[in-house]
Amino acid sequence: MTRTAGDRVAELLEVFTQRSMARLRAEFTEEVVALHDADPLWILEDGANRVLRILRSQPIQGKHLIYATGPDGPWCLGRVTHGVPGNLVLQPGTYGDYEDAMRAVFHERRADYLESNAVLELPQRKGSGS
Amino acid sequence: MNSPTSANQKVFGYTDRLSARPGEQIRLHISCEGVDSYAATVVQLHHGFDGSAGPGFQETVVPTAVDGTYPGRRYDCRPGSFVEVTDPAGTLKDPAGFEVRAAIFPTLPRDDRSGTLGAYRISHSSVAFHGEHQAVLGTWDAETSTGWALTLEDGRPTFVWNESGQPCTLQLDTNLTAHHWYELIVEVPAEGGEVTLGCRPLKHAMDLVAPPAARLAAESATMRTAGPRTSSDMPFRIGALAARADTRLVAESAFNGKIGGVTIRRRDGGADETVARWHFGRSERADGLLLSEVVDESPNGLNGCCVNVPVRGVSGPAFQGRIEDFRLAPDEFDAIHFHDDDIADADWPLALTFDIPEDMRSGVYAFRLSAEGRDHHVPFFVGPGQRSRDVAVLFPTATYLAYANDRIAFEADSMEMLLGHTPIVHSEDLVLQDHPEFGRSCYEIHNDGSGVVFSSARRPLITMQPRYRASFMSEGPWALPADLCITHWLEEVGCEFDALTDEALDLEGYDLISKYRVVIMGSHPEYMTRAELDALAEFTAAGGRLMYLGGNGLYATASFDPENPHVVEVRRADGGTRPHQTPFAERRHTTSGESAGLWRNKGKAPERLVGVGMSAQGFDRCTYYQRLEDSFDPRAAFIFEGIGATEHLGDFGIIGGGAAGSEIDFYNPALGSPPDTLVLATSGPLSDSYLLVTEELFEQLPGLGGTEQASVRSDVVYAALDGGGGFFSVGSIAWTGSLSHNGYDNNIARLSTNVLRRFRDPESLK
Repeated sequence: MTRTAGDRVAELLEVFTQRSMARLRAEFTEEVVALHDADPLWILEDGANRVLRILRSQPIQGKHLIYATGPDGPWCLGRVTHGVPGNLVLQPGTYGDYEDAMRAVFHERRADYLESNAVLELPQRKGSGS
Repeated sequence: MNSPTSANQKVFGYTDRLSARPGEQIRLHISCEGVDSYAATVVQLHHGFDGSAGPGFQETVVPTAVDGTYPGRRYDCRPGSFVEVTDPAGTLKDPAGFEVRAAIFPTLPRDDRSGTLGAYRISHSSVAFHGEHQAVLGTWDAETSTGWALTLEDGRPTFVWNESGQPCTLQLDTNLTAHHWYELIVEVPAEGGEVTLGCRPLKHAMDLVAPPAARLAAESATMRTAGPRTSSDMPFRIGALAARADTRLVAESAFNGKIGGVTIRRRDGGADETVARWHFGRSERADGLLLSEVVDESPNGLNGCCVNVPVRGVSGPAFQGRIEDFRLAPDEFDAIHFHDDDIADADWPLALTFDIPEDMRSGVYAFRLSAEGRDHHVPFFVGPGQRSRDVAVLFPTATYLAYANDRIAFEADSMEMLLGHTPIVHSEDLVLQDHPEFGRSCYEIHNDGSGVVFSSARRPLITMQPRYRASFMSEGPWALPADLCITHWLEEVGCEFDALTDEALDLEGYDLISKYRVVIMGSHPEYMTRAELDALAEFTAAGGRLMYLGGNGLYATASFDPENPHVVEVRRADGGTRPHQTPFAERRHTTSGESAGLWRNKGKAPERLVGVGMSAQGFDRCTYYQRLEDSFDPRAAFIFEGIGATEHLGDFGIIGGGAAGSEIDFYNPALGSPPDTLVLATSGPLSDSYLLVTEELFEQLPGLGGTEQASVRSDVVYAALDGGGGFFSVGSIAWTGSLSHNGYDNNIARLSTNVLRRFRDPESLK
């Protein structure tokens, strides 16, 4: 098998990602959860923001978006899924406030990355092209 | 789990231009999907944001001859840029005796893009790429298998032609490597003999090491031919082939990369003549600009025309690495960069025309197209008529176009980190995802990883729907919908206005605005031309009053194509906040000759004109303003009539909950805020999602966020200038979103109205 530059870049990024996820596990405390639950749009703690930046910088494929179903909501969660209509797959359930939808995204990610021990199965960030 | 569907959007349209004056005609192009008729009417747009926190969506029907129901049908919108050659004598139909040479620089020879690209780390393209067939040049008709063409087939150089009614293919084994220059050579005998196809890597002044490192090698192959060849009815194109779609010929097998040095010679019985020599760096215009026309230097005059704005003014195979202006060394810029996702004109057949009545009021209008209960608006601006008003609103149409059809929320890994929240998308975004053929914004990258530098009005502009909310705005309005907050406020206070646009001000300059007492700029006039900046400077110097009710304005260089003003060009320099970066020596706008980048880096900082310049951007939450000492200066007393000394200004609004935020500007005397500028108010606390802009950074320092960096703020300023004019600037995109709060009974509306009233007063500002 011939390794390409893309393979090497992906390997380097994976090394960083594993370190980043180790840090995420260490810093993802109940205090961070409480801060985000209190106000997802106004978090001034450095450590909490570091956790959020890791969660928010994951690859776009499969990533959450919030979908507004009307001018005043309700809002629901969706996952970017290239190839389906609208490139978005919606999840069941709606939220009367988009900040509640943001909280729900946060908790789903928390479950994905911490509670399910999915860290080792994180998708590599190598782009999939088009 | 289920997928939301956008299939209920049945009708789409666009106009030939965004603005026209009374007495002029505007042309409408329409395509229907799944329906065979649509209703059309003209509406005046009053307010866009349709949430219950504001006045709601407001439009009024304007009875015109357009009213009616019309038959409709679907038309293809096919991206892909190319050069089409005018060849009335059919000189290029039969390659008999031809030697064809072309230098190519493929940027995506196969479907193998990887990595994260651009400032937002775009890792995925939601615009499908089918790159197995990429045409360099030719007349090949895939439907009839006639004609001839030089192509890349899955990255391999290929020559295809028709012989005795059968398609013939000569192909090399070499898979071309991306981002290297090669020369392709095809020799076709005049009659029977051997067809030869060759490929050799080119030495390049900027690429001396890479070819051996990539182990590039020359290769050639031959194949017997007996003739005769069968010509096609297709035009000769470079960068794509032609395919039939309804009554039109659209792009097929579009190329990704640069092509240059294209020469065709005829060697026949000892004769050696130049059939065509297209020089992509040469302009026949006196100003040297490279617009649509492509020059053929041969005696045959086979000139061509660029379609769908491929990028010109790019370094070619002879580039020497020193000269950055294409006009100074045309031979070094003999190349065009084509993209399979370029689109400048959907080229749908004309559906309707609208002759703007002489007595139609200047303002913001739209064609409202309806089918099966869903509307699609095609906004347009009616400029001033014979009776001009004293107030004009300058709608930032260059910025509307730069952002038009932005879809990065679906493509970029880092979008959410930039915003500080999960993007919120809407049905219009899904429509856009289902219609990638409507083209990209200047914030995106092409399929081949290069940045998008052109945008056009002649395609459906989904993000210009009046109710549209951009995914990054926490459910607030952006662009045109945000500027409709200004016009609705003006209607509320009984102030008639004329609607001006960037392209009109660029074309007409100071003459367009000289008669107005007040010019109001929109919420986000980011991209402007030199002519516009000069016109506004002359305006305030001559006594005009400028109300800049936005943020991140007068910021970066835009140019309108002088021959196609529906096209705007925005290249990116190597400094400042930018979504991507244009390669070295390709940063000169071919439509104006301007160098790309921020006006502050070209000696025209916005601070000189409006007192403030960009400081930061953030998209989590906006804040209020607090009054400063200058707000109690007697010269500013008129601004704060009816406003308490300790009131927070704008601690409310439909954009992030405050008047200060989103993209913000600060008072910066170091960059030219005039000496007597009064700093009236500054923003309240902002989070660390607001980061100091990169153009303020000369060295990396910790603590660039709103909680630590003093320059991360929005300042409200006012200055009276000699001559009686002056400016009032708010330095915040979110300002307009606070105007309508509490039925316009609030201190942002009051303050804005105080300024407007005084600015309309002929007495000189003091």
